[in-house]
Amino acid sequence: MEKERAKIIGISQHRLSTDGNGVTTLVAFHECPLRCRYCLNPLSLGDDKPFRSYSPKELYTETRIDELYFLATNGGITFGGGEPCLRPQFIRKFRKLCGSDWQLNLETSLNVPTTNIKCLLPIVNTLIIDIKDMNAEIYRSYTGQNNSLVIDNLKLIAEQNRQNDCIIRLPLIPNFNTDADRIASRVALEALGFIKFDLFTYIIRT
Amino acid sequence: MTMARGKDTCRILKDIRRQIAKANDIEFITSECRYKGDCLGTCPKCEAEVRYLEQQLHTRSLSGKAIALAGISASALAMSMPLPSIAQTHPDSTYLVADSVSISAPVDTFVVKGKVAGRWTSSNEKKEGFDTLTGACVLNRNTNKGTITDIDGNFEINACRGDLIEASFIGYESLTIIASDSSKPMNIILEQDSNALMGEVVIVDIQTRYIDFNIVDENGNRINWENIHIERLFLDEDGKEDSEDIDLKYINENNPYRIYWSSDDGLQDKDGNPLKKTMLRIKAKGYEEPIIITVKRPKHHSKKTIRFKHKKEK
Repeated sequence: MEKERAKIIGISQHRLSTDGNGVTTLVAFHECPLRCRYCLNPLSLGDDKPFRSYSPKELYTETRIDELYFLATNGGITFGGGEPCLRPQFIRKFRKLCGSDWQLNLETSLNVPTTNIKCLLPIVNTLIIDIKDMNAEIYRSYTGQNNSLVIDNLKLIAEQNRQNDCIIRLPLIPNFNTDADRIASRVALEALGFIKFDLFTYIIRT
Repeated sequence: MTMARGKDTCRILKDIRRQIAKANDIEFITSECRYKGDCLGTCPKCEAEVRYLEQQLHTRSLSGKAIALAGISASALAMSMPLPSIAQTHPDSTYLVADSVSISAPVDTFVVKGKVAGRWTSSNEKKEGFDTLTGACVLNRNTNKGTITDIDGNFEINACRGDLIEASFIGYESLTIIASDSSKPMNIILEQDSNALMGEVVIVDIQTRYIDFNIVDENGNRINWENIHIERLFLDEDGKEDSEDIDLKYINENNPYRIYWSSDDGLQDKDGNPLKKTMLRIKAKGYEEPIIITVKRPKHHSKKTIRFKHKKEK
């Protein structure tokens, strides 16, 4: 059973058009099912640091300070991490508190049980999906995990006709995939009806 | 970079506040920020303006007046910020343009046609080339109307002579060009913005090998980084003891100090290969004898706690 409180590794206010429309606040959860070789937020993985845990209400109270901006620009909260879709009940409670006017976005790998996505789809506006690569072998070598749940969840989103609410991030990952792999991923995703893609390259800093 | 971004954020948020006030007939006088330090995009003065607007809007709603809020400033955002690199394939999809403010066009409007490309250089800067940028944002700053480039980087936009046409794409520095002549194609070449990219996709190779040193005194309090010196001890070709300084990195106040095994020159043999193990001498200013330890190359990350004693007063 999901805990009422969630560990949050960071809250970043006033993000402008970087993750979702309008003015958004990024809320990054702790914990992720993946172990990506080039993890963006390795903080979200280890247990060696104490992070503040929030109840949905505490998070709402803290983020409400920017409500005026959210309402004026059609912005809101982008839940990232870590993996926000590990916390469906938390996000549902948050939606109840903030009402329907805030945009709620998810920045997710979709590598979570389909029941979590079923639970979240009705209450979120946009999903920014970090697909890594559609090829199962590339996915496994990069993340250490199987991508069958990702595919199931993509199908679920397509069944519910929510493809237009998704932005698919397709990274070019040095040493893991090529442009040809990326094109293959895109073709597979277009076949499922997804139309918005964000193509970018990982720059590795040592 | 942080500061410039913060100032940009501040400017945009202020513009949003101004628009909210205007749409609701609220008298709103904002002042220029005089804050000199790193701007985070907001500050107590800016926050106070938000609270003032909320209060005024609340008063309006209590007196039964309608409140105009939603969507009034999407154009301000679109105008000011580079957009995410969303390459769209759907022919009907329009991005950003829909919300733009329309201004009646002067008589000499013409269509500017052009292409947006990005210049890239290989890491050793020996090769360079151009990529056409799909989904780059092209905006006429005078009319606030924008468009995005098609799959081949092409765009068309209405402009008058002298209008500022700005092209932006995530990871590249935005460029503004003055519209002068409709007969020539406007080819815009964007340069990579290493800072901007870093901001979005900084990634850390988690297989980098490092050791975190928690260096404390007898009471467990961390010893100031500036007072610590680490060197590697080894025997030189003549069999004499020699030493080489090791770079101890300061991460932040919440983290231990760190040695990167893979990239520190002091932890490589004479052929440049990383050492399998080494002896380190750690000195701390104001504390007793240096501490000498032998450490093995970590598989990924490892941690060590080093405890010093204060010098005894004589």
